Amino acid sequence: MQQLSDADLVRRAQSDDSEAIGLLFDRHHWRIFRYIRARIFDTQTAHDITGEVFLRMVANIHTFQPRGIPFTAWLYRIAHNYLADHINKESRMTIVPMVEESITAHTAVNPVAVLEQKLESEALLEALDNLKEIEREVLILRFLAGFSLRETADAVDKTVSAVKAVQFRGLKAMQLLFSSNSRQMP
Amino acid sequence: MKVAEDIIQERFERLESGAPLADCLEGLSPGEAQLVRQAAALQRVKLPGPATSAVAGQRAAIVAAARKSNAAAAAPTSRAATTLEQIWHFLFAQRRLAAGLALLLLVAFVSYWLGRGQAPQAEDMSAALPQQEAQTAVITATAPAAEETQTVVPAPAGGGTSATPTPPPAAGAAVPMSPFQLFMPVLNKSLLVAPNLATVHDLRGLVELDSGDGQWTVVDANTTLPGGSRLRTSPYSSASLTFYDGSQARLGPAAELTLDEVQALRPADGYRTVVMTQWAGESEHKVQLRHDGRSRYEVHTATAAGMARGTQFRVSVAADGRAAYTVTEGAVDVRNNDRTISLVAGQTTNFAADEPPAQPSFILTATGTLTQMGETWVVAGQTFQVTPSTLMNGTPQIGDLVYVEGHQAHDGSPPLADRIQRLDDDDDQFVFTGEVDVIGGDSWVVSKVSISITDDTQIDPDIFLGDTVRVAGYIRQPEGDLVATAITRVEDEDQQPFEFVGVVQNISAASWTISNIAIAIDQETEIDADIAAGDTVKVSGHILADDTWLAEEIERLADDDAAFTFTGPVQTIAPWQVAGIAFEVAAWTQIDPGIEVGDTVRVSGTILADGTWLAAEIERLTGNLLQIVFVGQVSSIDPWVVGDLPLSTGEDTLIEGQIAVGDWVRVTAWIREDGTWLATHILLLDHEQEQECVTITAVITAVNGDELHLSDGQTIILDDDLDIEGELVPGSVVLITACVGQDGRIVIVSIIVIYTPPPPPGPTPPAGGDDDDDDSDNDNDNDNGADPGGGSVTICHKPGTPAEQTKTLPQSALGGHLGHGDTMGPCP
Repeated sequence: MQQLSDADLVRRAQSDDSEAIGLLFDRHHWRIFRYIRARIFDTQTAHDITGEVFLRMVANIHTFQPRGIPFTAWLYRIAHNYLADHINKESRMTIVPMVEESITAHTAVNPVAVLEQKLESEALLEALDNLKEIEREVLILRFLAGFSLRETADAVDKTVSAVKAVQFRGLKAMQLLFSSNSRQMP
Repeated sequence: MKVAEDIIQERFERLESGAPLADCLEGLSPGEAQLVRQAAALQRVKLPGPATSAVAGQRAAIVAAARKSNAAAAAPTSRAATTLEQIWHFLFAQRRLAAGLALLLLVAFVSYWLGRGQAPQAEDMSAALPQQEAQTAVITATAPAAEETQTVVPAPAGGGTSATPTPPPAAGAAVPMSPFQLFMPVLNKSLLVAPNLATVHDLRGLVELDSGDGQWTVVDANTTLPGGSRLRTSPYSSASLTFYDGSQARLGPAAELTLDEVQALRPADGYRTVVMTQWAGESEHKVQLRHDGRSRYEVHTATAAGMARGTQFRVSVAADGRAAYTVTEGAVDVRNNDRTISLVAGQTTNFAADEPPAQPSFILTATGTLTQMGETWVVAGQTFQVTPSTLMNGTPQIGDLVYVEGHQAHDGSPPLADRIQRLDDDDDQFVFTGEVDVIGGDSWVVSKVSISITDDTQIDPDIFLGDTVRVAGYIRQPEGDLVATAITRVEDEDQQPFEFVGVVQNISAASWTISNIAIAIDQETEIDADIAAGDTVKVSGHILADDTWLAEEIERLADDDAAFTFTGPVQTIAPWQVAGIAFEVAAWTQIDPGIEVGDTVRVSGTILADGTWLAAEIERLTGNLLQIVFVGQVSSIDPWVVGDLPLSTGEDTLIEGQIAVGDWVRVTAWIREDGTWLATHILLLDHEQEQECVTITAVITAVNGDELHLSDGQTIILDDDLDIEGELVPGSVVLITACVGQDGRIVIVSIIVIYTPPPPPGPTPPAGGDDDDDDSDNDNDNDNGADPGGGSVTICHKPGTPAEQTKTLPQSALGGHLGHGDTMGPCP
């Protein structure tokens, strides 16, 4: 069952196979969490939202049509819509420092390097927050959530070449943000 | 052609496949290398995740939800509906039992609410799924001393009911939440100013204070009010009052209230005296409990007085003057006509000025689809009486999801609805036009109305204080504030645009007559040269407040384009006259139903040869109660359900976009006679519509007819739609802009020459050269008579068509035009 494609798992899930739901969760949880976590600067809230996204997946799995958009894109759209709702309700998200667990977990290795990486991550996330919506979405999906170019294109309903162009523009815009803020680019 | 994105993408793919960063940077320019480094840094971003155990727990919850969903789907839905009806009718047949059960249920309700207030984030995910199906009628009541929570479940057979103890409902369980539940702001010490002052805060929309001379002035947040102050809220507005002892009141929309006495001493300082009179609308109160026996917190209406002893309660004053007191926690005494009754949590009383308070009734609530309107309404299959005392929030229509709160009638007739609120999100859309009073980061004030701004609000640039803007948005619940989704600048709120094609009959300095319409012109009006009487022109502009048609542009056109479109108020129907223009309609004219005099319409049609204006379409723009346009989330596609509103579709329904469940769409729909909604347009929203464009630099190696050869080996075909600036000659450096169209195709949209090589030394051949088509003069005339070496040429563009037009072009662009049928020389 582990080797089944997303489409096969969805078909099983549509036939009320709850274990297929579990496997879809295993397969996509990390990427959906990373996508949400990049916008929600609180791990617990991001975790809760991820759970809500998968609950919506369960509630709507019977309406998914395998011949339409790929499952990954469909799931992303659920996540995107839910996240947009959440951000609308919560108004502007406050950027809070990342939890200390990321430091303590690696302190034994090289605390200075870990701290530097933490600062770099925060700077990058802040910069992402200042991009145009589509640029931010594409960069998060591509580089933080690990979506391929094709998956990203399906998710944001654009062509691969358009995603390439948006990706390029987004990175250039980030570069500009860093230079205008007189910060050192990571 | 290989553009920078492709090069970068190739390096990204190498990076993703595990190649060392240094290898991926080889051969790149410093700028490109920086982009790849940045992408690598993004991949390294640390995003702390939840504990493994938390993820495992979440997985288990998801799988359990799937099992539960499967089980629910397997159960026949009709049985659930039947069971609900059985419960409802049984409870009404057995009132005593109903009251008792209801009492116990409201305990669960209040417990739930209190629990929610303490831990709003602690939602039980496993309860989320049933919420989507909730469309039930329930009875709730409470008793302060009750400690055990019970719920009503149907007996397995026989249609009876039984009371079964259950654990207290978890937050997020499908217990009906009244949209009128108290949403008191968190108490803030800065609001506690002095015993004789109340602080008004948490303002939403327009809140005004009677300045004492009959004038109302806009009140600012954190204003302190002494006794005698009179406050009112506008529709879609609300405000909170906090007293020195921490007691709080919140005014809902369209409410008005006078603070009669304010001396809210704290227990250590003395007694509290807070007395107010509510004239309209609804208020909610959270009163600090006092044990001194002398403290007062009273809310009077024109008909009664409610005295709280440390409680939460609501007071509403209906349009007919009837007052209703409803207690959600603790107890309240209500007195009128020398009679006092005590209400406890879960009870309500409702009475007119000349009546004593009615015997307390337990609150009944129902949430579901409205299927019947009239003297009696049916919600979720249950019947309610609607009277002039029923407080109506929103304008519910058949098919809407509504919340009803009411109480039992004492004569055995169906329960009386005290309040009805439409729950559909799409009810909360708004659009209005006004003047900008305040521009802030998180909020603006437009025509005295406070508007919240979010990151998603689209705001036209260059808006200044005093500008007239159109604000579109939604009303956020439960806060009730107006959130703008778009703010656009409009030139003048009294101006309506017009555009039509007509025949010029008379020309004077200040006004023209075009197809019997007097058109004013001013120094700003752009007018094509050499227009004479008898010419066909396209004229566009705005209709001013005094009905003057002021032209902004008059453009000469071919004769067969005599069309018009304008917008204005309907003055008469049969014969039709709109904005001062009389026009004819034909049997085939499409006219929106229900148009009345005074409505704003957009009229489009054709001006016939005899000068008759014949309308092809009359579209109603405002005031149409039968048509709705709303934005909602798609919950089902077959059949269509958007924002809980079931929609019918037909052959004429225009569905735009690849719409999936969960997407946001804009729906235009009409209500049919049978109460169903027919969607005419469903448009996918929330997707970036902007074109993606890239600009590259290239060197022209040759121009051959309508083919442009570039140094990278690419060939571009020049066509009419291509915007060309400068002369395209070999050696020129050009900026080429290519965009991805809606269909995904890449289209070259413009070519701009940024560098032209100097002419070769020696005598320059005359323009046009020898034109012997052998190109022996090296003028690149390309067998078409043009000389790309310089100069311009006049052609007739699209001869013999309505778009026929004389154009002057760079000679280098001539080839493309001739290739599409254009002819040399001006049009005849």
